[in-house]
Amino acid sequence: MNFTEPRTADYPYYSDYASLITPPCSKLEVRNFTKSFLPVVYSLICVIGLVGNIFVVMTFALYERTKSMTDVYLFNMAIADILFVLTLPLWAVNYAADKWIFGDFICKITRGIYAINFSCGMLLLAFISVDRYIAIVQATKSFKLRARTLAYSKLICLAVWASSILISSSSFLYSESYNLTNETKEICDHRFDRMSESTMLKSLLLCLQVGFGFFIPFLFMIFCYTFIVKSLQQAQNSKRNKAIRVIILIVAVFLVCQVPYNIVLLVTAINMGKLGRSCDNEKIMAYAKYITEAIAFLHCCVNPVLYAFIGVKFRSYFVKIMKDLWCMRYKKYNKRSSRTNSDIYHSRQTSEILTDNASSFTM
Amino acid sequence: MSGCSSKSLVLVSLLGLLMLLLCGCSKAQSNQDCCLSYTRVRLPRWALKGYTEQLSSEVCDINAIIFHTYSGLKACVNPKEGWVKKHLLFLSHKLKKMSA
Repeated sequence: MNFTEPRTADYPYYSDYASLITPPCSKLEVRNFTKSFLPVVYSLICVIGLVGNIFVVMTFALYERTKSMTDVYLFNMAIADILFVLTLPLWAVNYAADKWIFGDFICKITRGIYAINFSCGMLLLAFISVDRYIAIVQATKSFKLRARTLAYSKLICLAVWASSILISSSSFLYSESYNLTNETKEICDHRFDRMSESTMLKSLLLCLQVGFGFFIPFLFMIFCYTFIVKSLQQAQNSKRNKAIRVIILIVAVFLVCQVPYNIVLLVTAINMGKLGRSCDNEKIMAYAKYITEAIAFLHCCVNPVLYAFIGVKFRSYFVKIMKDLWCMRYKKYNKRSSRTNSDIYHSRQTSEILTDNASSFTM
Repeated sequence: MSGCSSKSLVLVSLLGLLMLLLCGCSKAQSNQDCCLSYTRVRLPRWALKGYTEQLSSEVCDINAIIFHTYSGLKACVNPKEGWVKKHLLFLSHKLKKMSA
């Protein structure tokens, strides 16, 4: 007792320095939330997204007739969505265990694939709106133009994938599985050099993500779809109202899924590195980020429905493929009749395509 | 006709070029404990058990030192302040002695 007495006198604030010090902001409740909420949501998104997109890939792969540019984009988008959705189980485990258990290499790969498919999906959304714009608004010139772009379709898709990989190279470079300095558990996240201006880099990355993951596809969609709706309104066509409704639905779903998440990202980028933020606000932002992120991820489950299954031709072909697959189990010996059936079907499909070359398989 | 397609080609390649310069999206974790501001008062050296470092290059945004006190408290302090540097020196000497 005697021993501590003079020291207290030296530091008059000792008695209440507990109230004067600033502890780190504890996010235990956020961790409890992410532990239960995210694994469930990620698994659901993974299963739904996988089923829907596998159906799309299967239908396009088995559809042998000429495909429009939009169909090729949709095929690629479904593949990107499948790859993206396949990384979600790893994240579900990460949040359930509250640490990264898969090591450094898988951390880099997972974050890389995540980033590639995110940007690839967004780019393809922009390209789909451009293709539909050319098909409908530039209808007079479109036959030649679309035939030409269709010839380059593989090249364009290759370029989309290559640029997505390049855009995402920072994720490969900077992602690392490491021990946080004040904890023993490993996490998989961005890590920069000690000396670099990390705060600047981090907010720059966030701004780029918002710019390229949201604003560019958004601008393309708004521009192309307004012109499409305008020219559809002038046309006298029985299908016109349905087409307009589909377009409004596509834009609305995009906005509902992406706007909340991107607002949260922007606010995070603005606040990045500022001193003296309140811990309560920080927790609210963390909750907001995880919830809006889940909504944004939902977009890749809705894409197959919005872009593929809404099309009458796609649906009927999908049903046919399903029937064929179902019948294959019983009709192995009866191949001949089923083949003639599908031949008739195909010739009907072809004539349909020839009569309205502007409309794609999916719209 | 060719004017239109070359225009769109230029647009597409411009977009591609821009993308080349940029980096992809991140999936940063925001459920980790972080220091958001610094303690204003000076802590007595004898109250400190040890310290950890918070780096802005990792999950948290700002650089900070977290002093751990014997009473089990954690205090975020500014690594640029003189007294913090002195305390750090003291603590690292202490740790060296302990390990030696």
